[in-house]
Amino acid sequence: MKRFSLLLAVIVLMGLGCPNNPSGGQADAGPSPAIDSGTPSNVPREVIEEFERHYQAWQSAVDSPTMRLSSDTYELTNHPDYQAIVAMGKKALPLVIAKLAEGDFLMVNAAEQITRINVFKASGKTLQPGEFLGEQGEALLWVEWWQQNRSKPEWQP
Amino acid sequence: MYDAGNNPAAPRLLAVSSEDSYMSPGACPMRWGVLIPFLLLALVPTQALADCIRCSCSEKNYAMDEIGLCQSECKVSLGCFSGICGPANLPGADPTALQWSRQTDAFPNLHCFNVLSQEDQRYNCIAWSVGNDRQWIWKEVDLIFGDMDGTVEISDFDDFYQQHGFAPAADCSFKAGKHKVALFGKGTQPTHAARQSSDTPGWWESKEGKEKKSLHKLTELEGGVYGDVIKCYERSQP
Repeated sequence: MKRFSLLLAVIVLMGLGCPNNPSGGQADAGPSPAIDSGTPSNVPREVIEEFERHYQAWQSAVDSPTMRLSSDTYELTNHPDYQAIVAMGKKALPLVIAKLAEGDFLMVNAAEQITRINVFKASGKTLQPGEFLGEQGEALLWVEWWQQNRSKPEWQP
Repeated sequence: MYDAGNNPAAPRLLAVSSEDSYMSPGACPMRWGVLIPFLLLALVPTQALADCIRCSCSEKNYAMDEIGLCQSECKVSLGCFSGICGPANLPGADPTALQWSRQTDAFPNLHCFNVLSQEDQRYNCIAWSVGNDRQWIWKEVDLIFGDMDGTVEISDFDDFYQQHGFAPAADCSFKAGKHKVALFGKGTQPTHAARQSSDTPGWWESKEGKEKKSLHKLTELEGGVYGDVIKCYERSQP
């Protein structure tokens, strides 16, 4: 009986240890990836590698003790590596949307800067009194926008 | 057993003695003779005693670290609990040594703070200033409530807080029945918002980016990475 309890405990602990954000980004900090973000399977390998290199460098930068104190989305995304992702343009868009769907809501600025779209206005939604959008809400709007627009010629790399 | 938590005066005296001893060990051998029994006492009984020795609100250099005690996550703000720099039973938890060190590096005028909640990446200072602990709010201050120019200015915050029932306040002093928010900035560039504590008059709550939420005096957060208070807002408590 004792041995069975121990085995059960080990199984439960193994379940608790499952990571939910393999990218090392902002775990459980945003929209659930329930919506299919169109995680890119057809993005060239070198684009993914370039994107990931900049993304990881930016993540390290915003994880510094001082930057961790910042609430300013514009400041947090005004970093050379983040801007390098923006400079990649439309070819980075599927990867940006994938990060948003994973929960890294700070990628909202990249989506906005690449597309030059105010996604809140484009959605036609309004906020009720006392209601907030938040970067998480904007991230969800981007994922929805991508679902509706990903096949349009203007968003092909 | 010696209970450090109930005797705030003793640790302070001990801290001074031990600091003296390592500062000039050769100058007065007699001092070692007197101190060694005390140091042994500190070694033997509890981590709590070691914690107390290193605690005083304004101490940034932990004396006991120098002789090899308390090298890890010791508490540092006994002063907050003992009333040396804040009221007894201040809400929240002691910061860890790492939190204390980072916080006082970022905010050099800070002498006392407590931790109300640990790191949470879901919400930030602006969200907490309006009572929201689920969302990260920054861009909408400009893009929905402000002038949509890609920067967040004081006038954008005026509109944002107005939408949530706040009006500019004459000052940031505590007023019963009022929910006050202090906007920090560097020059005219907003950086942070703190919310007046309704439970602890004269103290303020700050959610620091993706980091912890702390309880502090308003002016002690000034002069650091957030700059200074540039404006206060208020609304009636719901």
